[in-house]
Amino acid sequence: MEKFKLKVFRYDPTKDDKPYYQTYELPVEKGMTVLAALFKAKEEQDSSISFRYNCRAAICGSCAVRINGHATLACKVQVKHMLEKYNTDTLVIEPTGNIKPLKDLVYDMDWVIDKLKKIQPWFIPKEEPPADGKEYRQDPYDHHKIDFASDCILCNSCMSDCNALKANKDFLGPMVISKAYRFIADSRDGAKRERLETVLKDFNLEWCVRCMECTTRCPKEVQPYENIIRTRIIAAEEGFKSPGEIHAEIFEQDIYNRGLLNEMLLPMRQEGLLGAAKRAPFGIRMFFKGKVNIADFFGGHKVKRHDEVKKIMDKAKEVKKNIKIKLISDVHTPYEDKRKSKQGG
Amino acid sequence: MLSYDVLIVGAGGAGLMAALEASKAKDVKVGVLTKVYPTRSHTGAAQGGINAALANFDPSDSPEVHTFDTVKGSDYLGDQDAIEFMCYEAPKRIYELEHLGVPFSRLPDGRIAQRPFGGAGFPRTCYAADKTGHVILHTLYEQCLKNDVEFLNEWFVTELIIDNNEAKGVIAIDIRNGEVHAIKAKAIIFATGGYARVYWVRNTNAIGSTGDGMAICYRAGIPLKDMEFVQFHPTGLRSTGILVTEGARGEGGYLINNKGERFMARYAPQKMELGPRDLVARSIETEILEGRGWGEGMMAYVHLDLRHLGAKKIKERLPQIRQLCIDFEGVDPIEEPIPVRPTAHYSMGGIDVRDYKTSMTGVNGVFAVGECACVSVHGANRLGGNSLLDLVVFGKPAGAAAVEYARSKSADNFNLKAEEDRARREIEALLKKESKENINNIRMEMAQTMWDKVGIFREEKPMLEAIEKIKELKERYKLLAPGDSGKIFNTALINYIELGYLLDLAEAIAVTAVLRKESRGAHARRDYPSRDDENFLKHSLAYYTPEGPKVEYSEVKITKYQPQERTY
Ligand SMILES: Cc1cc2nc3c(=O)[nH]c(=O)nc-3n(C[C@H](O)[C@H](O)[C@H](O)COP(=O)(O)OP(=O)(O)OC[C@H]3O[C@@H](n4cnc5c(N)ncnc54)[C@H](O)[C@@H]3O)c2cc1C
Ligand code: SF4
Ligand code: SF4
Ligand code: FES
Repeated sequence: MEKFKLKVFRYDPTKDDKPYYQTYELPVEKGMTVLAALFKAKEEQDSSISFRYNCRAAICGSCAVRINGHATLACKVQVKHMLEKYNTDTLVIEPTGNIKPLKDLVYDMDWVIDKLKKIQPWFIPKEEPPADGKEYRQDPYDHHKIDFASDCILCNSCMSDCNALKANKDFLGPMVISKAYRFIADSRDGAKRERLETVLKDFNLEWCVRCMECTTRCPKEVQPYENIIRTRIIAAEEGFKSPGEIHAEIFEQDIYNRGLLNEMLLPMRQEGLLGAAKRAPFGIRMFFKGKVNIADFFGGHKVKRHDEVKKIMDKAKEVKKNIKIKLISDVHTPYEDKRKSKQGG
Repeated sequence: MLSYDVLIVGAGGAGLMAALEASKAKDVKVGVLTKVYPTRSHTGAAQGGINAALANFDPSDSPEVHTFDTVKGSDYLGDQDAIEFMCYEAPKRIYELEHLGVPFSRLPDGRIAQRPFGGAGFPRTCYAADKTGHVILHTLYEQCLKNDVEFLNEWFVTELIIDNNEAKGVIAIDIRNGEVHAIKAKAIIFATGGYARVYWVRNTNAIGSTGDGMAICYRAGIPLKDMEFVQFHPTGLRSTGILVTEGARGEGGYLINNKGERFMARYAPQKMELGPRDLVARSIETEILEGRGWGEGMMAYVHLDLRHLGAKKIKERLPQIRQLCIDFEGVDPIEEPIPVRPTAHYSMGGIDVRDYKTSMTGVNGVFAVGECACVSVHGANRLGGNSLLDLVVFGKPAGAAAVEYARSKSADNFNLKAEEDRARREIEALLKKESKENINNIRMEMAQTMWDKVGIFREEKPMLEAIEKIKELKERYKLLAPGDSGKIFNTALINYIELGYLLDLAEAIAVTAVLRKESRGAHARRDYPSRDDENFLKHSLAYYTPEGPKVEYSEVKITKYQPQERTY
């Protein structure tokens, strides 16, 4: 029978100084998922391999690992398909990225739950239940807005491969913001503004670099990236100015008033004095490298022929009034029911 | 030493519902202990829905009709007072779940949507698309986070400590560091889920549905009730046992044997593949038994062929079933037939609950709720959508009753430390022990024995053989060891202990099944094909003894509905 190599990340902090890889040779069996392969290796070759599992049916969210570099539920993919996909005889199995491994493929879930708690991931009713004790009414259309988002199984596949989280461990991450969206968009929920304030804090929405890795990785079609965008849209509709928007406005004002950007004052106008103070060391380094014009601190100079820049912008503003901005279509029409056949049980 | 007033073991729907209720009492210390993170519990896998006579879809539905449907579904083995309580509480609990935020699917007027389900007189099943259990589980967990419920995640209970017929605490392993602890508790609620894993790969349940709480209570002296009743589903995937829903047959799929025949013509010439679940299950098994399947042993199967429906129809009408087959079985039903076989689905039996209003067992301070408990409301056969209901309806009062009980008890000086030391020594010895057996061999032999001899078809002689085989496997289990001496995330140790639980439960199932000389609900005997109310309208109670279960019987509560013949 055809064989393949299962190369597993191994790490036991009570025994190992650093992680290493161990390879197990296994037959390629029809119907064998990567989770089944891990079990086969554990039960026939090395009982010390640790990994999480429970449902083996892609619903409990336990078994996310990285297979050849990409996060996936181990129970939801066939060994054969993976070998074909990567055109290889070796599957490298590593714990999810961005989260500390505790042992072998087991990662630190508490760290994720602590992050999750920041957005108050629980329903906070807008009003008292109806007097007859029955359900809150919810229009089916409103229900569809949260239906796909409540599919999230907290598997961390998206957190694992998120490029922003890689750069900034304090970023809430796609799973957490997507969870916030699930409540923000719930017509029955009463803490919309509070929740928006939380996700808008610390540039959480701007940290996302829109690589869409999260949506690609998600095994449940939760669309975490799109949910981040939807959250931004709702924030704007609610009259919140996101840091991104404030940033853009300052840009616009500067160009209008001077024809160029005042980089000295930008942080202060955007984040206030305290926020800007955090960036002072960076500014000082820039100054010594000759990258800062001290005059900017006192208002700065204007470009030549500034009046022409103004004219162009005035014209642009006029034209803009007549343009209706259209949102990307897949962001605007996500709310149909994607499930065609209903399940029994 | 860790100490709680109320300790809840298990964080599926039943455990979390109890926890949420218990945590409302601010004067008692509540803890929830679970071997997997709460949202990883098996409850998340429930798809279809949860029953309650809200009468949203059809105004003529009522709790009374729901009660009758359930009594009839149970083949009159359910306790009618408890069933009535459950069905009348049902609408209140559904509204409560909705008020906690569960995103139920909606009717056009904004009320909770309902759909028809097997065995029900009206469309009574409330649902959230195909993920009802998932959203209920997550919502309950979220509310527990809100209420600051204390969780011991990834802790594994191994023993229940009872003294003088009173709960004293449990022994548990912290899976993250391997430490063995005794945990003191005045009231203990077991909510550890079902035992379908005795059939190992031939079942729909999570890998962790190993009946731990049942085996733990059983060993501690609490009887197990109606263990012989296991519900089977006709079609599960060959490799994993994952459920392939009725949809595939509903859309016109054929069941085919290795002779290329649509064999249902032999068993249900009119309805063919759409015959009732148990008939389809028995037909497939007969084909396999008589050599008309493919594969061998536990891996034998027949084909569920969808190819004639064509790519377009499969993609349009059955996208999820197609994806399921590709992901979990490596088969695209557009190109290949799906290998299927029946699969164990639900455990009707469980820890003997004495009082349905509190879910207390015969031991003071020990409670049981959810699939690990047997009240009994499901009797000889559970109706689809009634088990999620069971979790929330009985979970809530159990939480409240445990609080009341804990309040009534003052601290005592029972020496739990001695138990802790003993348990720690035992686990340490296990880690050092050398293994002379393979875990997978014992487990597969157990599963095969149970499947072939105490499965869908039951008969005296094979069942007696099964009991002997399980005894042999229990001897071989003594030669087995976890094979890993590590401290942190030693899941080999956990799997080893779980197998021990399964062997005890397998024995209890087989022994009670032999003794029940009738066919009732899911218990179908070839040698006694009809129901025998005269002799067997009673619950079986299996008591643990080192030589094997000792079986007694208790009365079934009949209030309004006298047993009648069951036809659908
Ligand atoms: C595929 C499928 C579909 C289903 N669909 C439906 C449906 O549509 N409608 C319906 O009503 N029912 C359905 N059911 C049945 C229903 O899902 C279960 O009966 C129910 O979820 C059981 O819940 P529970 O809370 O009792 O236990 P579980 O959800 O199994 O939870 C058990 C808990 O106990 C913990 N635990 C177990 N052992 C230990 C230990 N030794 N130490 C510590 N913790 C432990 C686990 O960690 C877990 O948290 C379905 C079942 C299956 C398999
Ligand atoms: S789209 Fe944004 S949130 Fe998603 S992975 Fe990329 S950076 Fe992370
Ligand atoms: S959004 Fe998707 S990938 Fe991320 S945790 Fe939820 S289910 Fe997993
Ligand atoms: S084991 Fe549950 S998602 Fe893979």
